[in-house]
Amino acid sequence: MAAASEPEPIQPELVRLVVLARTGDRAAFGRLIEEHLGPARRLALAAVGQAMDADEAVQEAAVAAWLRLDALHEPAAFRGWFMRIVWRKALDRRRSVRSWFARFQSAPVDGPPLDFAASDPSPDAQLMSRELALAIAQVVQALPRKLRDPFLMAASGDHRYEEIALVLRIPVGTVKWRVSEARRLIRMKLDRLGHGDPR
Amino acid sequence: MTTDRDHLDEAIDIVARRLIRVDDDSRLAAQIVASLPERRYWLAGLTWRLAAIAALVGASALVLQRSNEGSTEVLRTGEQVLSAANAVPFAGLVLGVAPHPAQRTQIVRSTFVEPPSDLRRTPFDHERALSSLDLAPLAEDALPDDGFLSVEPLSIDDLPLASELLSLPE
Repeated sequence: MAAASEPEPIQPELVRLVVLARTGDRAAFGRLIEEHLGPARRLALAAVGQAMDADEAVQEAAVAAWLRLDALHEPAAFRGWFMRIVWRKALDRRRSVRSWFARFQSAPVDGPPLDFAASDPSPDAQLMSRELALAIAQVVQALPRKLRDPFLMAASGDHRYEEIALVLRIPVGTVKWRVSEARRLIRMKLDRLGHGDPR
Repeated sequence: MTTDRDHLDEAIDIVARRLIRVDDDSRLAAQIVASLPERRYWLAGLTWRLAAIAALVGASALVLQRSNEGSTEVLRTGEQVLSAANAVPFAGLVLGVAPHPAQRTQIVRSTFVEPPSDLRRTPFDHERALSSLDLAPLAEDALPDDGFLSVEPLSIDDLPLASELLSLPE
């Protein structure tokens, strides 16, 4: 987990780009989006579960941020502000009926498409069996949304606990508790499934 | 926590990261920037919207004002009604009627008679009053055998009787 509690340093380049984007500089705004595109896509994917829906949510969020850029009073807070818009757009998609049908029709029967052996050459992944990976994925996806959302955000390594709290509009202590509770539930269910020993 | 548990935690982290993994898409940022609307155009659109809303509000206010004026026409005077162009038939009808003096009746006020303030109830001895009368005794032969009895008119000078006193209840 990369979530930390240290205050985020002010980035002069970020502030400069935000100021330029406010004046209508599309190139500056494009650079802002490009720098935050990866975390934004992962954040949206944590909400909707489908890459296509996540990219559409990020695109809608970028347009909304472009149009509401004047409402951002503090340029240094662009990242948290933009992530919040992304999360809201992703939640809108998650709640939509069309997205629900798409997930229902494309959901695999035996779990998420995880191919560790072929695509992940890391030693830890090599040690993990495909059966355990599928079991963990199923248990994570079966978590309540209140626990799964902050757990996946923290697991991405893109967001600090403060930023997760800002996006979810809950206290930082609640974020930490939910992440810890999610991990405890995952381990407990894995134990019941007979995956207490990963090796 | 055992070593096995640590490995399980690592496995959980790896799978969680895999669940939200996204492939690099260099075209997506350019695609997003290309889809951005023109901010000036958006502001202009907002201006047009505000202008349309203002026009709508103004028109509504005008309609309301006119409807209020229409409601006050009921309170116009007779001269204004007669002078109106659409009141010509009614005006002719009114002018064709000869003037007739109004018959006025006087207002009758109800009055009542107040009793005399000096009316006092005084006790009176009627027997002594009768004995005080100066009456001549009537003889038997004075009565005629037939015919009508004629009695001389009685003259009472100081009979202290009054109709008001006799009519009063005890």
